[in-house]
Amino acid sequence: MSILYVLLTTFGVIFLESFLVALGNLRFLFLLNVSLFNKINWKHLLSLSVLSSLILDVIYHYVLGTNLLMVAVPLLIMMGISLAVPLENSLPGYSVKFVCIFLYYLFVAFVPNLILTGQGTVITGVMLGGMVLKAAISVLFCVAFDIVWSRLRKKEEGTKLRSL
Amino acid sequence: MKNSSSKVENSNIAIYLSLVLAIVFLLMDGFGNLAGLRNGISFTFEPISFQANSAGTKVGEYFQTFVNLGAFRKEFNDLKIKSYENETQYANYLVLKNENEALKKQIALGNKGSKYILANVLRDDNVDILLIDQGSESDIRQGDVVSVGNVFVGIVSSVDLKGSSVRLPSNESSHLEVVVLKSESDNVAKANILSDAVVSGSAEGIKIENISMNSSVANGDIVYINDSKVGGYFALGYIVGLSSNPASTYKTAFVSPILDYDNLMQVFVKVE
Repeated sequence: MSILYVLLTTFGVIFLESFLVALGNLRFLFLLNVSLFNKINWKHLLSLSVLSSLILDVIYHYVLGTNLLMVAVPLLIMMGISLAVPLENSLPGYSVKFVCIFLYYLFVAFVPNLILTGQGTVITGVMLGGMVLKAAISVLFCVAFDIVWSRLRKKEEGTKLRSL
Repeated sequence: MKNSSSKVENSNIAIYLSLVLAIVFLLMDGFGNLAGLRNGISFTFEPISFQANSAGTKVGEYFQTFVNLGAFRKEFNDLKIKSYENETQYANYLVLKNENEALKKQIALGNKGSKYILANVLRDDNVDILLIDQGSESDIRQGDVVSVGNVFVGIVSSVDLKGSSVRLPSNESSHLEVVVLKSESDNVAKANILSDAVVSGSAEGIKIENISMNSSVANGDIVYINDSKVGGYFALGYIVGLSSNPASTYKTAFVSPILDYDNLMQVFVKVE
């Protein structure tokens, strides 16, 4: 059953990622990883991340593993910061998420090209502004996701549906 | 508390494993060992991605319309201004065209011996008075004849420095001697005059009276001004509504003017 969930979610992620990239160059995979971090079983999160990132690598014509690397590094940084700043539903927590999402968009701008061609990309002020805007929109999504999640799940029993 | 910390720890494992797997995939794909996997994924997911991408593009274009609303409004205003400019230019063109046609008519009819002043007609509510934009500054005097080609328009009744009023034949104080010619007659000098008559303005229109009872005047015959106040022959209109009272010694009728005085734009004032 878990495999089915992961597969269905993967399809959804691919669809939403492609849709949002066309809509406003927003990336959904990392957003979902940040939102589900510490919320679901790590095996499910890992399976979802690996599957989705590999598929997206093929769709974007990246070298396989690029997306996974770009997702894992900001999450590792977020994990490091979480030792000092709690990642709870608070302003400092969302600030950390904002920084990590911004970093992810920064990686998206130059890492694929770096891996493919070995050459970096020039980051302009306009690009940085766009990244800040996209990170802000993504944090808003995280806030909305957390609100919906807290209504669906009991605080201490993250994997069980709230009983009516 | 223990549950929560173990979950965090597990999530950390997921990140470490992701990093390791990413490096493994990068190396393997770098060596070209994953071509089959790539083809399989591409075959399955590229169509989904394409559909989602198309949908996203369409929605993006829809939102882009709202983003560009300001630019659209500016463009609309610019186009509106341009449209007004074009309309003004077109109106100027119409005025020039009308003037050109009037001048051509005036020249073609051989009125070269006299001096004519071109005047523009000003609009007002009066139906039997015409206002023009030329006055004593252009040597126009009271009593001057106003015409278009050889068609009679009226007589200047009052003159100011930069404007004049013209009394039309339909004005009640307008009384002119006329001759009635057969409708086929092209040349006034050679044509047989059917009858002398007098036209005067009235509330019903231009009335023609004193048509000889013995004359063969019929509806449609042409009325020419032949008055000492005017000088020369000027066409006025056609006989309509001819009526003869057996008890009377003359016939009466109305004159349908050749020119529609309401639609005149330019007229010529004969000053010499």
